[in-house]
Amino acid sequence: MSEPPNGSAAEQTVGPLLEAEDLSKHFGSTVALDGLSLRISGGEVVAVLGPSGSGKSTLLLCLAGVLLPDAGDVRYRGRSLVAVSDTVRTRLRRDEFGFVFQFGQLVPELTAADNVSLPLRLAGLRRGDAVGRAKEFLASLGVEEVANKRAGEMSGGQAQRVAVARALVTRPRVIFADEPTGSLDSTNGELVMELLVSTARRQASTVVIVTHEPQVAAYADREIVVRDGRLAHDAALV
Amino acid sequence: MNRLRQLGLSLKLATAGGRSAWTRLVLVATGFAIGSALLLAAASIAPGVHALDERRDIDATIGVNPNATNALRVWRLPQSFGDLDVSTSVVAPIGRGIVPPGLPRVPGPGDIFASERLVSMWPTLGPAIEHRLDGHLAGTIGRDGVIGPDSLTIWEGKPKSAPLERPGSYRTTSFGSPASATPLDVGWIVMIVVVASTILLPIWLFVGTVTRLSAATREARLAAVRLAGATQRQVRFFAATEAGVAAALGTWLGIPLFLLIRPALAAGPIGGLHMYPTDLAPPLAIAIVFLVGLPALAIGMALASLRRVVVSPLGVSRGAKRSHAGWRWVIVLGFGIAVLTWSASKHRDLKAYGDVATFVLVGGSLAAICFGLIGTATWSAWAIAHKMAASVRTVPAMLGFRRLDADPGSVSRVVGGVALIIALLGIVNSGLISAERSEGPPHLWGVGPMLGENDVGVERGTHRGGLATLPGVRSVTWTHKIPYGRESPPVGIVATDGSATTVEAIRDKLAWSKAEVHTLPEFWAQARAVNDDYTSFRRAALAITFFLLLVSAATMLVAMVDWLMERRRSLAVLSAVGVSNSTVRRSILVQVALPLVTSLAFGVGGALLITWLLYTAVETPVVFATGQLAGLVVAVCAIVLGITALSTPWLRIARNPELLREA
Repeated sequence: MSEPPNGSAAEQTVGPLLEAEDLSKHFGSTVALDGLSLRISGGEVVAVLGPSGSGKSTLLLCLAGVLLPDAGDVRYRGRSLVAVSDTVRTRLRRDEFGFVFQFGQLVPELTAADNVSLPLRLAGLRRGDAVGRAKEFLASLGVEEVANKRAGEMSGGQAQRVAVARALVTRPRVIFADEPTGSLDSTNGELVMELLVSTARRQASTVVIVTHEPQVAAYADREIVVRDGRLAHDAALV
Repeated sequence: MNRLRQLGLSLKLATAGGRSAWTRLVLVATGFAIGSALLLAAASIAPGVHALDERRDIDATIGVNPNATNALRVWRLPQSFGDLDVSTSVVAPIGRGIVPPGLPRVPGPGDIFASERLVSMWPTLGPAIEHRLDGHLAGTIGRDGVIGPDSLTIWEGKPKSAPLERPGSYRTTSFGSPASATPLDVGWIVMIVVVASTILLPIWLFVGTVTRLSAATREARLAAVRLAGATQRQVRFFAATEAGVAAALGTWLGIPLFLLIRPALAAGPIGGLHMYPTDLAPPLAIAIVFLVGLPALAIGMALASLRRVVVSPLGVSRGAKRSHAGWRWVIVLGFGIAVLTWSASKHRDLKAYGDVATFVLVGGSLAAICFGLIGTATWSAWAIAHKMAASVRTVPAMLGFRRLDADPGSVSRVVGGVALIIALLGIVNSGLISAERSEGPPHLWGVGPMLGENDVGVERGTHRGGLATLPGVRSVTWTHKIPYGRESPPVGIVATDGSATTVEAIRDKLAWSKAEVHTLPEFWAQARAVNDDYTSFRRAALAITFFLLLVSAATMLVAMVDWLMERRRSLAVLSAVGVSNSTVRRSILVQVALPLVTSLAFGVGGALLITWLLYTAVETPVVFATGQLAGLVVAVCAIVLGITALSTPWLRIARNPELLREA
């Protein structure tokens, strides 16, 4: 569980792992991002805070190559995510990134083990190996008892831990989490954050967490505040 | 809250879901419109055939009273013009005479009254008719005087020049009345409607699927209404109104749709019968039962589906877990097959049990097989998905099989319907091919086999003189001996130069002789008519099957699109985590292919097995409709690919990453 993320340390690029440069994004007349620039280094745990509608989630989706900015560029390990094809971005997200969302992220028809093994199987791992590794991960997050249950048969906290397991199972270089505790009570929220951040640190993964909760941001090394689509504050947390 | 205000609120809620709610209402209404139009059509078949029978009876039933002072002398003279046979009656009044059906008066000497169809052809055919019958067009025969719209009929007042004699005519005092026809059998109508309803199973499945569209969204809306203070009873009322209004609208739209398709139905697809569109009129009572019953059925279905869920202010919970006890249908299917196999093995002894017992044995086992086939096919599709979901290696297959396992619902329901229609098509077509083969290949009879290429055959004539002197006639031979060692009244073989003018000249010469004059190609056309009927029936059965397959395909497409729309957030998440479009598309292919291939296997298997057993049991030669079944295999494969391709645009919408920004 403490292996480094995908690829060896020797492959690590010098300079920022993720870099956003002068990002702009509009949805109709709504300005979501307005010339925002940002650099994130490997292994950092970054919390993105801001009021509702400030552009936090849009920033996260642009950094992950899910949304394309209207202007500006996003570079991952020095390579532009805007310039490459959708197929390349899809493969990159599958192989290098992990995602945790607030809700609706598990495939309802699949069991927890199937959900967690999904990225491994997409990466070409054999079914048996993938499910075995998924079950190990579920056990490490304390939800091995739901391995054969579907999303609708789990509690919110269990579902969110399964989602964390799915995000971490490929040992991604970057984990993107959008309000990962938004649908949980404080106890479950803390548990999920503890598991997410500690596992990510063990794996030396970078974590970008969008949240509006200071308690969640407290798990980060660095805090970024977005307001009206611009970077309003960027500071290391002690 | 009074009922009217509740009704208004229900309608507002039903359409509050925006485009998806309207789409659902339109689809429900369309399904009911098609269903009710086809049911009205089915209910109108018996009255249509009855109307034809009535007119045939009027034409054929005559009253004879030798002492009557007012009567009509009638000579029936078959006439042919080109390849058209025209039923011609020449009449002369006795006393004041009596008026033939459909005519305004007794025709005067040389007055020709022709059927609508013939009058429409008068510009080209009229001069030849008037020349041969030495008359002139005096009017059109009304609809009560002809059997159907394609009837070629003439009533003519006997011209003074016509060499007609009393022998060979009959004297009539009246023509048949509607009362003389066989009364309309309501039982027959009900039976046709029941059979039609069974055949329309895919349409009811379509309706059932669209009524469940956006179920999760609607249930969430109902929960919100509960939260706002509505009682469980009011929620049920809202759901019932929503279903009932769309169904009623669709059912009543079925009336204009039925009127629209009626002329096409009257033009021959029903057993090759040509009727007036107005003949196809369902009895009022049965029409009312449909128009009220179908919306009531929709309301019943909506309320029944709500019985399984509890709508509370906190959301919706399902009362019972889905039962997968469909294996019981295997027993029903096995029982049906066992009884039919026994009947087939004892086919020589079955007659000893009597017709009723045979009917009960064979009919009962067939019913058990049909129901068993539907249930077993549906259950098997789920069971295969369940088994495969646990063992399959690829991600697209896993996603597809898991979805079929978790939610067999709409897609699997199609399986039983498709399996049944494929099986029925196979059985019906096999029966038709068998019957056609028992007729043997088309063959000539009477004077036909004795004719050469340019010969003209003359049958049933009362006199025969003067043909040899006609221009274009090369020789005339009269004989009593016809093929197959039979004797007949004298038949003539007239060798000609092969021109149409010579043929018509021969017919003109024999115009008053009651002779039937035909060329060799016309004899062949008559011989092929019987086989053509079987071919028409087979084509009609195939067309109905393809139509029902398309309806089934539409059901699957609607269910698939609904699934994509309801799952769009989790599909967008899959897109974010790196699951490619092609992976999801291949999972859709699996979801479409498994149910259809299962239904195809059961349909084809059922068709072959039942054909063999059934026709052996009733001692009919067993012939398999392999060509039609192969056509269906190709059609099903095309449908699988078509649905997958057609769902792609919705897949793109569902995987839009902007959905991830929605709270």
